[in-house]
This record gives sequence, C-alpha cells and structure tokens, in this order.
Amino acid sequence: MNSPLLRVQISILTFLAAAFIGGCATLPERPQTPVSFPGSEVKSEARAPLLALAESWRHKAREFEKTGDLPKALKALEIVKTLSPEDLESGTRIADLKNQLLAAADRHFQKGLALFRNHSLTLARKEFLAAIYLKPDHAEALHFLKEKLPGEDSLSYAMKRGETPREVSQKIYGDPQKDFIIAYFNELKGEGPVDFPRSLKIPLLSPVPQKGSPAPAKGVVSSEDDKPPETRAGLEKARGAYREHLYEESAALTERILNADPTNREARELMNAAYYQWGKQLGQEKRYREALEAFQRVDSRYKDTPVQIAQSRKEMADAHYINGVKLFTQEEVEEAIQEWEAALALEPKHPKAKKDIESARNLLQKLEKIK
Amino acid sequence: MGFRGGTAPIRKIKNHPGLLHYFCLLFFLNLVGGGYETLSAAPGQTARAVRSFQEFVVVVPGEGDTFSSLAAKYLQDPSWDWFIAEFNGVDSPKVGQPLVIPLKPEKRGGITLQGYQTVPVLAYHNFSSTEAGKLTVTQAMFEQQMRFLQEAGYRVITLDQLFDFLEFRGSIPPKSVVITIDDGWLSAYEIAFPILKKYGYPAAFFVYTDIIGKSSKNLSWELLGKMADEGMGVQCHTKSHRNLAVPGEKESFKDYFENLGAELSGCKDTIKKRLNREVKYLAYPYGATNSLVVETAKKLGYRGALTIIRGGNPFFIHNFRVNRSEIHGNFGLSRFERNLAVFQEQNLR
Repeated sequence: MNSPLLRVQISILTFLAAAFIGGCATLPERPQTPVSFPGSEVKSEARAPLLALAESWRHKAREFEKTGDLPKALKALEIVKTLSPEDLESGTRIADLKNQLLAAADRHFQKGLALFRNHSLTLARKEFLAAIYLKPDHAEALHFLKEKLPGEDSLSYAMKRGETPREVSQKIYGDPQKDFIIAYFNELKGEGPVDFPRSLKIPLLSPVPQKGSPAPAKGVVSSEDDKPPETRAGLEKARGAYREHLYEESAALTERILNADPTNREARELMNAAYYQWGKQLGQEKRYREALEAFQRVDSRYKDTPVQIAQSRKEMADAHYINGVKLFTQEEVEEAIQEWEAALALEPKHPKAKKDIESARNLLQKLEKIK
Repeated sequence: MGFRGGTAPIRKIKNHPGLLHYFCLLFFLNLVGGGYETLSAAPGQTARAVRSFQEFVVVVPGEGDTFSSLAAKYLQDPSWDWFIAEFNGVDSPKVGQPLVIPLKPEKRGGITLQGYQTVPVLAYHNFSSTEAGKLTVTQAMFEQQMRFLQEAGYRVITLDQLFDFLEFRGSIPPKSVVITIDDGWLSAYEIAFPILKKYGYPAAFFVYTDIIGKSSKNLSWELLGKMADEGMGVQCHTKSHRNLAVPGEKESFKDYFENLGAELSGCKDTIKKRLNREVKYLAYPYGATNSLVVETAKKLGYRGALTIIRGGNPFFIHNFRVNRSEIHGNFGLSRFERNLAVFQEQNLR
C-alpha cells in the first residue's frame, strides 16, 4: 500500500469510478445537502458567501415569523438549512413550524366545515382559504372552495332496487318524461330498471322562463346578478337592516325572500344571523320567551344555537321559579306551584322547583286537614 | 473570492500524488452534489449560478441582468421574472448581490395573508377605425387600452394559464389579465389583431361557427387559422349564438335539450375539423347559463366556460361560471381600469 505506483493506480481507479457513477447520476435528483469540502482553505473560501446568504434568509425567516406569516418563514428556513446543513437550530425550527402549520390548517378547516354546515358560507370560505394558505396541498379545503361553496349543478341519486329512470325523473323533476336527461348523463340504454346498486348523476333544472320571452339583446344580460331585481333589492334592504342592528326587520325581510326562493343561500345565511342576533338582544332585555322563539327559528347548526336555546330555557325556568317564590311568600301557594311547574316543564332537572312543589303540596294538605 | 475547489492547479497534484486521490473524490462529490462557479460576477459579465441545489439555485446577477433574463436562463421562461422579484423581496437585481431562484416556482391560488388574487377577463366584440358603439371599440381606444395594460405592468395570459390557476395547478403573475374577443367579426382581425401582436398579447377568439365566412364582415376560417398560428386561441361561442339557458318559443323541452347538445358539440367539432385545433373553452352567448348547460358542457369535454358577469376571478370561482367584463365603446381609461382589479383584500390571519 505504501508503493507510490499503487497509490496512483488506486487514485486513477477512484477517478474512473467517480466519473462513471457521476455520469450515470441523474442530475435533477441532486441531494439537498451541499458538497462538503475537505481542506480548510477551500472550505472557508467557498462557503463564507453561502453562509452570509443563509444568514440573510435566517433574518427574513424571523421577520416572517414576527408578522405571523409562517409558510414564508418555513420556506426561508428551508433555504437556510440547505445553505447551511449543519445548522441544527434551523432544522429544529423547521420541524416545529411544520407541526404548527399542520395544526393551524386543520383548525381553520374544521372551523370552516362547521360554518359551512351552518350556511355561513362567506365565513366558511375565509377559513378554507386560511387552511389552504397554511397547507397548499389541503385537498379537502380545496374541494370545499371549488366544489361545495359555489353550489352544485347536479345531485347524486342512489337508485332503489327495481327503480326505472322514469320513476326517478318523476321523483326528482316531477315529470317522468324528462327521463331522457337522466339517461344521457348516465349513459343508460332502455327504459327498464337500472342495475342495482347504482348512483346516478342528475343535473338540476332551473325554472324555465315563460315561453315566448324574447332572447336578451347583446350586452343587456350582463347583469351582475342573475337573481330577480326584487330579490336583490330585498337582500340589500335586509343587509342594511342587519347592519343597523334591526335584526327583527332583517329576519322578516330574508324570510320573505326565502318564501319565494327557498334555495337562496345568501338569504338563508342572513336569516340565521339575524334571528340569532335578535335572540341575543332579547335575552339581554330579559325577554326570555321571545329570545327562545327567535333562537328556535335559527338553523340548529348555526353557531352555538343549541346552547343559546338551552340557555334561554334555563333563564325562563329561573324566572318562573323566582315568580313562584314571590307568590309563595305572599301566601299564594297554588299560584306558586303553577309557576314552579312551568319552571319544571322548561327544565325538568331544575334543582329546586320539584322539591318546592312537594313541600308546597304537603303544606296545602296540612292546611286542608286543619280546616 | 470564489469557489476554487474545482479548479485546483494540476501542478500541485503532480507534486503530491496523495492529493490526486482526494481530488478525484472531490470531483465525484461535485458531480452529484451540484455545480458551482464563481460567486461574484465580474464587471460586464452576466449572471453566474454559484450553486445549484435540488430546490433552488443561488445566482449572482451580472451587469445587464434583469429578472426576465434570469428567469429565461434558470426557469426557461422569461415571464417568471415576477416570481424571482417577489421571492427575494427586491425590485430589481443588483450586480453582485446573490439571489435565490426556486427551480419549481409556485404560488398557487395567489393567496397571501392579506387576501387573494383575482384575474380580470376582458370581453370585446367588434372594432371600428372611427366609430364607437356599445359593443364596438375604436382602434384608437383599443390601442390606448393595450398600452395602458403594458405601462401599468399587467401581464396578458392565455386561457390555459388562467384555468391552470383556477384549478390550483399553476401560478401566474400577480397582475394577470385575459383578453377575449367574441363572435367572429372581421374587425377583430383587421383592427385588434395587429395591436395585440404589437404588444405581444395572446387573446382568445370565441366564435360562433355559423357566421364564419358567411359575409365580408365576418372572419374566415383562413384568417382564424392564421391568427391561431400566431398564438391566438380559437374557442367556442356555440354554433348559432342562441341563448342556451332558455328554450325557444316553439321548442319542446326535449328538442331544447337536443339542440343544446348540438350547439356545444357542433361548434367544437367544426373548429377541430376546420383548424385542427382542440377547443377547451366556451363563452355563453349573452352570458346566459344554468345547471343543465353547465353539466352538458362538462359532459362534452369542455374545460371551462365564461359568462359576462362583471368581476375578477379568484382561483375558487366555478370553472363554468368564470366572470368576464365587457369593454364598451364608451369606456374611458378610468372606467376601463375599474375592470382590472387583481386583488381582493381579506385578512386570513
């Protein structure tokens, strides 16, 4: 091994092997770790500028973190880590940030989902956007943004055993003769029962304008909204009332729109919001029965409506209970019992009403005996 | 100062045979690890990539380098200049100041913490050398509007780029805009086309095939083919320009449905046959559509469709209800500009 000739031979072999493997290596698949340069002179000269660049990106990462822009902070730190692979601190921070981003994206998505189910579509969209910003490959958030929020153009129908397209057409369109639409979109042949089980795609049909209505002139149909003008005006009024905290009026206006157009999502969302706020307003005024009625008009999936309903019931039950106590102290025992029974009806587990009713009835029995 | 490992003098190696072994190893690592050149560009030199990594390159701009030239060199597309600028947070490249250029640039959806990108799609119809009308824009005004787009830093993109953006697949410049021209009037070739070429803007021509070559006022298949060869898109505006959302006066629902399919497939097939080009997009006549039209267009293989509802398009707009803003002949520049909103603020924190 000490022979200079042997050492040169080994070197040449190494060179050839390196050239061969290097030539076969696919360059786009370069490893993330940069070259390490044995030999201090070469290493320091070569790496100093990259380390300086890494430092400037580390600074950027800190700035992004300060402003709460974690995806950009992560990207900056990944550059730091690539330029300066031995930097353990950035490696740890990258892992932390990735976890934080995943958790935050999921939080936003779940919140968006709850809002979507409550028909709060604008707010839901904001949450889905936040989720996708934090995690650009968040497929579910993207699905909701692109497919669910704009509304569906078709529905999916699960065929029942032995069902024919005509029967489905009757069920969905109210007209058995529109079965050709179902056949076209599902590539069905013949009129008999469809193979079971089968899910059918069924396009939604808009109400057809009256025959004979003239084709719109060019440039005229460029309306900003395809809703009838009275709907647009009504919605605008309802929004205005909501902004003015006139929730009862806003709720009534949206209800009128929904009577004419039950599929109007915007009106439904606004109606839920208006009744909800009105219920809270009434609760603050201690008008618990009316508050309960308002909350009962809200979609139960909207915000914490079930909690508000339960709270209103409890407040009403407490009010009845206190009335009962007042009547009892005024020796109006029978009336007191009625109030406590009302309290129990609203809140069957009321902690005191049941016991007080029993005591009051015992008292009445004793009084009866004395008489 | 610079990387010298790759150019160590051979003389030294000869004097120290042990170093040959070491240098071979270094050469090998260099091959698989990424190339490097000098860190600073000498005066008069163009950019040098000082280091390539899997995800990005570090580049030192030289004199005369622009973001476009760097994008052309490292991303194979000069139009990605905006991304290099945005990624590095600088307005222009500075000689000797290293830049990081991601090799797979992405900013899907144009979302930031402050809001999201919107893309305006402009809809023109007819042009005239002198007289403006509601749907007729004068040559001078069209020229002025195109110049405005250039001077204000807008980038005109194609429908394919728009739909890549809408489908969350590709990124586009922050001030992107799409130009469309409807119907198939000859003036689109005689007036608009030369101006579009002058500015290097692609546009999509939505034609209804029944009028192509029908009179001297209409485009011919030959002219459409010529424009398509020069980068313009030719897309569908149906066969006869009927309102797709409404059955005709004497049309049964079944006939309406069949005619709807014929309008959409007839246009597509004719363009394919006459120009040998695939059609992917549909502009609804009068902008009118409904769920049945949307589902039919999807079934017939369209990638997307455009209305004439005014407004920009965020990535999450429905692919078959893309907004378009009609540009009318009486629009001044300020009104034209009002149709060019490219960002919607929304705090996403």
